[in-house]
Amino acid sequence: MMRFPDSLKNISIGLLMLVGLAACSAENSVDPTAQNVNAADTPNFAHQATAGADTFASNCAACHGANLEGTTSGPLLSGSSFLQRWGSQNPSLLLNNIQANMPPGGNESLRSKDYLDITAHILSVNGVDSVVAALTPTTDFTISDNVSRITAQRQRSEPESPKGLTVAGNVDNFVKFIPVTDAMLENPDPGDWPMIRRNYQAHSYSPLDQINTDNVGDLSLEWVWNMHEGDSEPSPLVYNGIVYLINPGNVIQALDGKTGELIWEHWTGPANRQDMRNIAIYDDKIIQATTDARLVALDARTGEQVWETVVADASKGFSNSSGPIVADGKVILGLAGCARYIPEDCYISAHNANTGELEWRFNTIAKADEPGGNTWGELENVFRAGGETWITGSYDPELKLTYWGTAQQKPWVPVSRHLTIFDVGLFTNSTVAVNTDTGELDWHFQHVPAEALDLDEVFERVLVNRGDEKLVFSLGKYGILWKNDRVSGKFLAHKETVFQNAFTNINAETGEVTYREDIQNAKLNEWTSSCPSSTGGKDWHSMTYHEPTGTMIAPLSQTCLENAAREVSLVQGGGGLAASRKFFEMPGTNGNLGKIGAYNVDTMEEIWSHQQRASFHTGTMSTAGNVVFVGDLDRRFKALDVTTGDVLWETRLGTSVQGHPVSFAIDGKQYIAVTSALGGTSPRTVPGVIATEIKYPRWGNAIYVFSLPD
Amino acid sequence: MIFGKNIRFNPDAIPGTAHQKARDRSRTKARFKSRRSLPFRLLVIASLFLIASFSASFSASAQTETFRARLSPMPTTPQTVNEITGGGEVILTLIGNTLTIEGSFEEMSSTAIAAHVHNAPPARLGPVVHTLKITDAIAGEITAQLQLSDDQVAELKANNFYIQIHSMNNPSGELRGWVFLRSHFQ
Repeated sequence: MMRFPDSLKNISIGLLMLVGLAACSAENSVDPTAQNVNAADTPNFAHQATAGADTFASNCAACHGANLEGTTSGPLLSGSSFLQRWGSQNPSLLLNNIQANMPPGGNESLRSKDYLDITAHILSVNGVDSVVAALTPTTDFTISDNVSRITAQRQRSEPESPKGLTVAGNVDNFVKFIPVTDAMLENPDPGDWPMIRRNYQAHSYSPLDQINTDNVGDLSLEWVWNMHEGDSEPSPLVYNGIVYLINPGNVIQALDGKTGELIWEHWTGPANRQDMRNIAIYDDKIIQATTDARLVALDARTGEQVWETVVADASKGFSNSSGPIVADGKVILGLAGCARYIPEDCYISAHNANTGELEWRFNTIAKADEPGGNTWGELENVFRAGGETWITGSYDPELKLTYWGTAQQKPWVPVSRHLTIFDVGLFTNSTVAVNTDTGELDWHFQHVPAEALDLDEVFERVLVNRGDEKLVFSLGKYGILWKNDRVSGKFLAHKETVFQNAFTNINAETGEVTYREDIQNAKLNEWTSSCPSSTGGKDWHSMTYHEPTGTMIAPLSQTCLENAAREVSLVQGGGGLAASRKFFEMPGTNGNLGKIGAYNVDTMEEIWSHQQRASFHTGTMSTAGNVVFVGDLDRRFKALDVTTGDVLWETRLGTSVQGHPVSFAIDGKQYIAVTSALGGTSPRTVPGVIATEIKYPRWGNAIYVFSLPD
Repeated sequence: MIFGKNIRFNPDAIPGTAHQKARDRSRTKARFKSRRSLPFRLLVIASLFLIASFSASFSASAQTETFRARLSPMPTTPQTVNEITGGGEVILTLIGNTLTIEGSFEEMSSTAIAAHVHNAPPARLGPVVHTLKITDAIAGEITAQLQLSDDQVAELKANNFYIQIHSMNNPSGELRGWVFLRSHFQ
């Protein structure tokens, strides 16, 4: 199956959508209309497409759909969305990407001929029906030039998705809108949740205490709102009683937090099934990143568009899956889809909040002549890939530094990227502290240099003050909780939160990790077994810092993988992830995939853990009522005691509970909100092959709001 | 089965067992099988008692230690998830250097053809060190009584043993589970 197993949504929204510059020589190019082929004797395009239909059905359809329509496990490969990304490219590039990356579980059973057939099938379904000559590895024609008129007409007849404002309304009719200031974001009102993880420090903590350990068992449903279908990992934003909700497909809704009444809805597009984790609010604007790497500002009162700017060229594969943070008056956001070999690299960028105008960029990939440029071996700049910033960063207003995690080098295994374990590849898999005024790097700490198993350290940076210490915590897929000084970047301490056997040593003084020898020297097509798997440890689900008790409470996952590198040619437009993976239960966990771990931030010791078969699919959210909320794959939304981990309350929702719980207050009443959702990349894919007995509907995106009875 | 158990100040302990129906069925079957094989179990217990008594005459310090392996599918993918199936549990009792193995498995994709004890740390692969008796069916029992070397006892206690069941459809292995002290799971 062509399942997109990991952070592809974050890395590229599907490697099959990968685009770039074809490097096929003129000698190798084929004019598809200039050949006379005896169809009865010689395999031609139609033969390939017919054979490819069968091969696709048995290897790809489970994830991408029998008709290439996409599922929650894999993106669609047909229609205008496909042609938008691939229309200007050639079959050779498409073939190379499929062959290097799909299916992710291994390609031992597929021959080169099978890949050609699958490519022909995909092209055929997308209307390439004027081609006669059989595809070869070097076939070079523009795909869109060979889509027949009939097919084009058929595609035009597809109903168009809504665009722009689809439901008109005005927040002022519900509550007087007050523009959001920097001061409000630096010190949010207790009743608000005005950004992802609520504050600049990324604590995912609410100071509200009306709901507490004594009464949380009385929580009951206040209202529920069905969301658009598709992949979804949302963090609702709540300001002054209004819930601003990012839906799949770049749709934003404003809802009355008290009643669930829809106030306005805006379709920014592109209309697809892709998700976005968060949006931002600043002044009188809602600011969203889009899945095609644009930045759009809407009027927070009415939902009408105010400005729009392009962050990166989506036709080259760039995308976003997380939205911005507004810090010091600037809209700062990351970028995903940086796995291909093109001259452009990944960056964090800052934009003027009033106009969208670019103010600065920080490139996460060091070029040869830049500081850190000598950490990529002899690799030419164009072949330096990865370093995505697919999770929103945090911000220290005093230091004027914004903290981001970066993803690993691409492809996933050193041998695939033509490097060694000593080519650490700055500034990948690091914490980077970037000056918000200038965009210059203040410091970096590379947690896992030369990452070799698809285990990012990209997730949220949680800023904590303990006495005079200014700290930054992070927890990546290796399941290691890192504590660094956030002024200097100096490593201070670490804690292994789940079993890991990728490293034989983690230096207690420096934090330097030493990979197992077989991982260091992994060769192409050689299977390596290690823990955790590429779903973490920890993944995109945010951890919470409960300041009153000095406790970091993290949603964790316990699975392992076997990993084998695939070959990737150093060809412009190529690249990708290039590994086969298999997954299995983590030894010693008794099959418990889900773990909530609580850690004392001073001692780094584990205080308690709550473990269960079902994996957790929300971030953790703690409150001043000493309750921590979390949701799981098995549709359970739970409240745990912050100090003991005891389950105080749970309820079951319509489908898997996924996203980021939030808490807010209106007229003195506290509410707890959480989303149920589908998608979510490898944290869903991996349990899907290990905990197969857990069943949930493949639809049911919604936001649920709970409160205590009046 | 324990579901969602909490642990305090003991990060190395792993709680509870899964709660799902499939595993409940597995447990039910295992209990049923236990009743059916009562004579066998009595024989094993008597043997263990004799062995223990014999060992005690040589070493007053010989103790009984109980280990457990949870059997679960070998590494799988969306392509193979319906072809590598099943589960099981193995209890291993160590008295001196004698290791008695009893276990059950079920719902494999095809008939079991072999079962082995391998020597490797958790989530690593290692060589076969002992062969076990196994029912040639998609569900059944695993049994053995092994004499371990002192080195092997040390490896067992270091969690460096795993049990693997091979099947007709998956000759390279269908079920696998690392051996831990039984108390590790409690």
